[in-house]
Amino acid sequence: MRKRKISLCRRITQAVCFVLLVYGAYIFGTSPDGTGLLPRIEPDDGLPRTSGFEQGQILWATPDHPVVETYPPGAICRFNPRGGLFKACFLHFLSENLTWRTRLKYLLPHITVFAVLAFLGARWWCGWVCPLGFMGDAAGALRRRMGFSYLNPGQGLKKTLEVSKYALAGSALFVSCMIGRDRFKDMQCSLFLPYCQICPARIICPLLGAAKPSFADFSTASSSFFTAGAWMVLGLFFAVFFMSRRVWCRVCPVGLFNSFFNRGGALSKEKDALRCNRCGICAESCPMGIESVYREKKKKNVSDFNCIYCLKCVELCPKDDCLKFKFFGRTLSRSRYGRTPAS
Amino acid sequence: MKKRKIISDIAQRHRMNAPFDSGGLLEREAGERMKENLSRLNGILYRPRGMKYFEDAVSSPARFSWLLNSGGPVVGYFCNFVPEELLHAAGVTGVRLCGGILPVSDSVEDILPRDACSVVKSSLSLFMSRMAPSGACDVMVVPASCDPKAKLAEILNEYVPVWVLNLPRKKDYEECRNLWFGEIKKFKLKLEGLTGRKIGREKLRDSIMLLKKRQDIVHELYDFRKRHPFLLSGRDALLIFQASFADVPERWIERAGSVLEELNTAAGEGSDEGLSRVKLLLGGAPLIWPNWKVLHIVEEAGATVIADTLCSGTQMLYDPVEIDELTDEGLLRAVAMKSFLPSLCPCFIESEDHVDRILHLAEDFRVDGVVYHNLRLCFPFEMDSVRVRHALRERNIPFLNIQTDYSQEDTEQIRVRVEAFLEIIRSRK
Repeated sequence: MRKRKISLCRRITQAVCFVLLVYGAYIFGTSPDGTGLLPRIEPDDGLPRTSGFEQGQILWATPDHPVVETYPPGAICRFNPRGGLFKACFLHFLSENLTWRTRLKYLLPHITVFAVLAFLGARWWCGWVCPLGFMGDAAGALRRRMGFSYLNPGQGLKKTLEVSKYALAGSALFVSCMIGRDRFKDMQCSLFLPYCQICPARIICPLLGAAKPSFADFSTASSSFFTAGAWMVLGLFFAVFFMSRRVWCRVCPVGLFNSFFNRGGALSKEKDALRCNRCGICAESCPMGIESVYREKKKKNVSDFNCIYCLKCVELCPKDDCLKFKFFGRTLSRSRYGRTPAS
Repeated sequence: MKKRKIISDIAQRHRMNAPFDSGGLLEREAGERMKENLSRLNGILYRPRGMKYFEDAVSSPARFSWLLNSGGPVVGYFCNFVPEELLHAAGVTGVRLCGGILPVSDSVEDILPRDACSVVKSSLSLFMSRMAPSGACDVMVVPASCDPKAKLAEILNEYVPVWVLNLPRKKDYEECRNLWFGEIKKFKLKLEGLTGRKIGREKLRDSIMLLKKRQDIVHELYDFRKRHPFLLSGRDALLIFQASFADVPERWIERAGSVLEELNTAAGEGSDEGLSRVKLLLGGAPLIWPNWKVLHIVEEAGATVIADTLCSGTQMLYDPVEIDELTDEGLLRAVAMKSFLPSLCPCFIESEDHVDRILHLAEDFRVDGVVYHNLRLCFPFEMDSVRVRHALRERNIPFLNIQTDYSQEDTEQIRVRVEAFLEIIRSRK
């Protein structure tokens, strides 16, 4: 078998990022009193954002693991082991501020940071950095080790997933927006950050550290709903990652915001259609099940909105210079015929 | 002993007459044709010494002794659509049966229609006369690529067990790819039934890795011919590729590797300095040994075929199996897709890949012209030639369409056309 340098690089990057993002708060010492390496971001109006939750509730944070807003890699998720919260998860950021009805002028710097990051990396973040993706890939590695093959979603399911990611992100934002209005204020406590409440990260992240989140909050109807939902989603998460490859990432609303920059961003994938005789290796190896790279026979740019830039296609394509991965127009890697290494 | 038994039992069961014995007539005819071809090969400017092995592999009287002496079942197959990796992993002796000789005393006229293509007629008459390797097969595998092949499978099934692989005609649909994968899965089960042994994961992986060494060599030859177009003639290159029909892969890999070394040394010594011939790309229908007519004519007229898209040539050993996942199904799927998707066969609905490949090679090798071999009565290739001609005209690359078959009568007409074509190319230079 040929040497797979890109995949090896990717695994290493994923592992390093996983440690940094999940345990960053320990490493960089972000603390509630602001004495860590990384500075805190003060709320615009000085109001504590953790108010309104009672102990044991899903979004409640203990005093020793408070929600601190800081910069990455201090914390990536609200439910990170040592507490902490960077406005890194775009969906969290949007939902929260839609509810708090924060003024745009306070949000602009953050939005700019998001836009720049998304422009630079687009869904590359999903394939190389996302800690959930890393855990999913680990489940996939377990499957491979056990000798099972993956399931491929059919065309119909693919189309459904394509629609449902918009539905998921849209409904989460809609609910967040509505509960910010005075009329629905009494629902604010239970419906706050609806997507976060069922996101698999909310159970996985605390489990990886010392924090004690509420795993079983059945005190009210809504918390029962979200607790049960979160566990089901978590089970589904590992089941999907174990059985198929990255089908999950097709519905991830966080990835959705990045995917807008897959075309027109800094990264791109180009194909020399003449060199391609459609041997299908790119389509067969793609963990997202993308076919457009394989099908394209006319256009040069083959960046797909779902592409997570794992670059398996570029790595495995046996046609010299057929596929190229570019960053600001500069070729970072190109496809090569892989000779069997002498053994 | 066991081999004979299987064949005779089948022959008893069937309605049609048992295969005839040509009394050695066909063998004599084939021998003469091969001898003539071999002597014409001596006219090539530079020939590596290692070519002797490849000549013997396709033409010596003892060429199929390895096959007849092999202990396991012999599986004959047609086309690149049959994954050799699976045959190798199953431990059966696989041999490709595509015929390149059509006897004058045509014995299959009453079975096949007059207008069947030469490949089908030739393959059937080789089988009917019990000539090796066809006569030694316990099982034949026929992918239903074009209509004559599908029907040939049915006719052959009267005498030997034939496994037909139902080839989908579209590459794009996922359904088609899954259908083909299903066919290969069934094929694997049948192979396991034949040998009584499972094809394990390690075995399949080892076979893939062994057979991929052939692709490595072909890629090196490809790059070499790009740099030194006149050191290896098209006739010798095609002979090297086709010898892989007729011998075990290990030996082929070793011998082809030594030819490659010889070529590199010759290039290092500057053996091709000052040579200037017309560089041609050969496309179209397969040329199968000893049907070297078109190649002889083209190369004897002062041109060299430096690249080809023939399914019996470079295309046969060009695309590698790339393993993504080392699971049972992952390996099998990689093997199945390699035998299906990279094919340029015009039997597919889209001819885009076929045309693009010709354009790419013409560009990559900077050829002076393209010769397209049309096998008479093979309509898919004929239909594609129109698109190829238009695409080449747009790029201002000279194109010659030669329509012929296995007979020798039109040799001089073709020679006149080829010489005129080369004259036009030389005048453009």
